[in-house]
Amino acid sequence: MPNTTIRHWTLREFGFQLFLGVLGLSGLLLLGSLVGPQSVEAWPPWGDPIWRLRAWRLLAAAVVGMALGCAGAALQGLLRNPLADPYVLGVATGAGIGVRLGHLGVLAAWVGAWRTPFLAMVGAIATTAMVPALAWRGARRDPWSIVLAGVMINVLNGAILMALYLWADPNRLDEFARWSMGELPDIVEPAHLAMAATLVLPSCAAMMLTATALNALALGEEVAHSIGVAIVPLRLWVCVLAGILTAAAVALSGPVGFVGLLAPHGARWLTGPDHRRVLPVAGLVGAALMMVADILARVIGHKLEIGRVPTGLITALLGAPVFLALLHARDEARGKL
Amino acid sequence: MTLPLQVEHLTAGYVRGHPVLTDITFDLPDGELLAVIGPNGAGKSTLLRCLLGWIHPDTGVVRLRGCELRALSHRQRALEIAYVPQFPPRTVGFSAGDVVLVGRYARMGWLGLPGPQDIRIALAAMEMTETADLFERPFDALSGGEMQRVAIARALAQQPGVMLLDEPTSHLDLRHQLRIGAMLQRVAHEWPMAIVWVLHDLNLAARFADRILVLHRGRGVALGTPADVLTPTLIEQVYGVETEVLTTGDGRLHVVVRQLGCTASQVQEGTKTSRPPGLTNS
Repeated sequence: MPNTTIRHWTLREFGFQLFLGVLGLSGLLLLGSLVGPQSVEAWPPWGDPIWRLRAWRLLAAAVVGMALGCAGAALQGLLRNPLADPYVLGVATGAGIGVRLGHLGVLAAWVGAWRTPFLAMVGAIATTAMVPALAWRGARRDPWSIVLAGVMINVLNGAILMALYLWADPNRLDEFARWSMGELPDIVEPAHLAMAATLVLPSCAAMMLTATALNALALGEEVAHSIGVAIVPLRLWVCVLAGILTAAAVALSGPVGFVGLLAPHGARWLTGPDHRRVLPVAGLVGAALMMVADILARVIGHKLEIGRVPTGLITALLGAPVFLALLHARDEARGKL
Repeated sequence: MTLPLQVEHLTAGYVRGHPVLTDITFDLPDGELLAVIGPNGAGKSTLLRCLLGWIHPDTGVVRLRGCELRALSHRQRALEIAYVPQFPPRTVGFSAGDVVLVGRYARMGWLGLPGPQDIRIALAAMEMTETADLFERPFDALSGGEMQRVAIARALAQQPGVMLLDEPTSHLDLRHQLRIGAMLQRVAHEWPMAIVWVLHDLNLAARFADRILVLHRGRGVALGTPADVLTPTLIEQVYGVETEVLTTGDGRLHVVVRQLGCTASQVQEGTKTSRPPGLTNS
């Protein structure tokens, strides 16, 4: 039997790789939580309240990164566009509107504590549905028109968000500026984290079920259709799950850019284009990216004495050059063929 | 046994009231390679879309093994019909074997993990198309001809009863055209499978097809063996080109162009008043 990528693709082996990845992330969590302006003095560290604050924050970063990485990978596969990502398509800002409405106390009566993630989900799913609907109105399904529509929706959502802030309190615009960059709160409440995790983990797992269909879609929509992929339900499924994932992430950290874009590229670079591998690995890569960004944000802000640095600032500063380098590397690799 | 494909009085189009295809009727038995020819815009691709169930007929019926096509689910259709488009997919990073295994989609479990059985069938399909040695090669690094043979292997890995091909050879060189034609003929006869092959090259159709269906302005104007269908009269009626049809020593038909015949508008008027011989739909 030939030696193929598929043949190597056995559950046990890949499961082991994933396990190593999770182990690495745990190590990152442990080490990362020791770094920062105030040293952790207690040993073992988990007795120290500062350590605990940092650990919760890092865990939150991991959950956000996992959600964005997985959502980004699925959206890139579905739209067959390497630039698709929850942030670029305006889904993150759509969720942000929901989060703002949640903070403003809309719907407080009947959803209670879940109102923020709930409204974020409504905002995110509405945007994920709206962008393809706007772009796919004609018979032509150009992958680029979707990104264009997304960029426009993103601008619109940003304006609505700004208006919501002004409406609530015109004096808090600097808070808006920080939040819209994507920032994890200093004190992550375990209840919030648990809520986000209960949304993210099952959604990531459910996303795995679309992997083979996304692989088929990579061969073109017509071919996917002819081999038995039900395209419309697939689209719906991916959009809803990506909406839920993004909403959970945004409810925790605000709209963080670049992780959803970068993590799938990193994952593909590590594993090749097979979505059965890309989706889980993108989740892990996203988690790692967010954790590193969070540690850097904490350390850099302290070193430069500029106070807290939004995590999203770091992901953007790191992400954009890395993304360009990836593009360059890919072009070079193509040139050699 | 019911026929793999039956088309009865099919009228269909993209806008209701403006049919692209009018009253098409044909049957396709197992093990037959049917070539569909006709000028650009005659409705060849539309016919394939109808057979794939992407366009629902306005009137008439497409039956797949006796079942009406529109009553079947995506999966049921995929188990019976495979499709090869004109251009191979532009995809980066998958190996040729991965591409062929994607064809197993409808027959794999819900986790989409190919078992040894799937890999064996994929390999058998690739052997049929002489691409087994390409299994591990990156698909995007293959030549156009190799890509198209892998794409046909992907369709075969679906284990369909009917394979539809939309001009798979039109951008390939002479050698690859002949190679793919011979391969399709072999697949049709040995698998056995019913194949609908849309193409432009009359000589290719004459050489490999068991029967030829000629579409002109949305109508089936002729259906029969190459020798019956490919006559200078019909070719001039349909294409507006004066030709000679020669039979070489080995009994093969060759269509040789003499000159451009009457202009296109004259051809159109011609078809309105008289209909060519070999007419199947009245």
